[in-house]
Amino acid sequence: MTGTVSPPPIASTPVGPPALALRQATLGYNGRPVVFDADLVVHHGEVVALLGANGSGKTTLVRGLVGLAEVLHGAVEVSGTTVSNRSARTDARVGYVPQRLTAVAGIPTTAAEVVASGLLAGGHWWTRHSRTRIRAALGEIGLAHLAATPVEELSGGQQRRVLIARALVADPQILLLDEPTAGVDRAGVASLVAALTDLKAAGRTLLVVTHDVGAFSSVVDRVATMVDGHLSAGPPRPDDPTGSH
Amino acid sequence: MLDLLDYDFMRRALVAALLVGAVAPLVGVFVVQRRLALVGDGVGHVALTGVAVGLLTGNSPVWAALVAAVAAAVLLEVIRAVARTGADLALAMLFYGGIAGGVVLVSFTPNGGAANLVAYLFGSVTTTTWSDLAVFAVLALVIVAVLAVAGRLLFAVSEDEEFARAIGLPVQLVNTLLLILVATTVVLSMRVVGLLLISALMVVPVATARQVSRSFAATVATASVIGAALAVAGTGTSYYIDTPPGGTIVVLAVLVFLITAAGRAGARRLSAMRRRHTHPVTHDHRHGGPDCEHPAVHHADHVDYVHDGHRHAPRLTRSGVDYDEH
Repeated sequence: MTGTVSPPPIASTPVGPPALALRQATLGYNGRPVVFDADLVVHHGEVVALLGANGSGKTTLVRGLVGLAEVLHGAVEVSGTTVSNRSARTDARVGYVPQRLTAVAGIPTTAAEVVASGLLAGGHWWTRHSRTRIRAALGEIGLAHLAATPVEELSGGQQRRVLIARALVADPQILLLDEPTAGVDRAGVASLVAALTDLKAAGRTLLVVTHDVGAFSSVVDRVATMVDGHLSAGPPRPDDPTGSH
Repeated sequence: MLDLLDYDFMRRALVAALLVGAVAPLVGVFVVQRRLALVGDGVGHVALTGVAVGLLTGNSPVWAALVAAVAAAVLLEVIRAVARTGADLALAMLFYGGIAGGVVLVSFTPNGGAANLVAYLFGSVTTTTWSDLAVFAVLALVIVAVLAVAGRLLFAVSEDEEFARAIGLPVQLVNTLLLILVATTVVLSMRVVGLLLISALMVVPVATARQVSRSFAATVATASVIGAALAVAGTGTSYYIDTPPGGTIVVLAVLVFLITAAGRAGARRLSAMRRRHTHPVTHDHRHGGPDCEHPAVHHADHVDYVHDGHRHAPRLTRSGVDYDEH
């Protein structure tokens, strides 16, 4: 069975429910399935790359994990909580980085202002604007010096990192990144990978949707592949010392 | 010179203009971000039916217009949520039905109401009474209070609806709230600029402010100041050159926008020319060297090195290496 997975990569990881789990999950929109019977377990602290062609259902799978796609069958769990029973607490545990560049035409918006939206996660709608937390989140992905810069003036890679900071500001343990390298040049990809390496070192769980696993090979523990809505989760990487029973 | 302040009606008109000019862009900033400018106009059309009902029944046209506009706003959001594909036509029905209903209903009022209709369609700020002003002040206060409490939710949903949904914000509710704010602003502004120009006060100062601002907060503040200044200046100008205040305010607003846009385009060209010649960036490595990871691009007679989104062309100067940006 392809969905079974290695034990937690770090011996000290507390035993408990996995960070993310799809169990025979069929996901879609308006009752129409896009992802069929997916099985995937991601443990705390693991970095998993989700590969597949355009239209194969990668984005739907990730959207299902944050309650943006319907779970038509089976179960989707975040830290042991079923996503369809989502609560403010589940929302805060998962940071979502959608596939999008921030700079849409409209009103100029600084990196710090974009990141501030993330503070509202987890039902903290009336929480106070926290400059310190915004700075810290931007600092974590190396953009503290650009906090006051309008996002439309940032490069593609920097804009992606601003979106990562927006997710990080709520301090989630799990981060879902949808095509973080799309539209980003080589130097931008390098700094993105560096940022993800730091996040992994800090013990966060990452699920990265990408076409380009090569770019992330230094960070990724395991690869799962999506073909026409069907997921096959690969084995742990052979060089992963914790990957064998 | 300031003889317009000798007249009570002009003093009231200027206070009304100041109030509306300052408040409308606060809502307008979200209207521009969500590209709802025309929806604002549509809500204005429906408000006309409310005005007519008010005139016909002897009630205050302002409150009747508020009820009609808010009802239209809620209906709009429902239509947008339910009928995704037919939404455009459904909106057209609502808008044209609203304005036509207003025109027909007004004709039933005892004295024909034609003068009244013109006053609401094109504004009549100089007929503002003290009790009108009190109503405007209450509406303005409500708008500012709602923005103070829910502004960050409105911002998050306007900035990225997908992300807002993912973090569990009540997106539908926030969208409806924005449309209700638009409806309230429409009713607040109709006396000053008229229902046919209703979105102008919300949108044009924002369009001007975004050209000279580098953050959302700065855009909001600048737009409010520009809006207040334009509304007061337009009302004052209309007194001296004897033109309708509503139209004068909007013409002035559009002129200021055009001047700002032209000025900004000029400033951009100038700074681009300057930057091309002086761009002293310190690099911890030499481009083209063994530790250089920036992709090299051949460009005419030289090689550029790609840096996060732009290209650098190294150029030797007396003090070392400078980089022309491309």
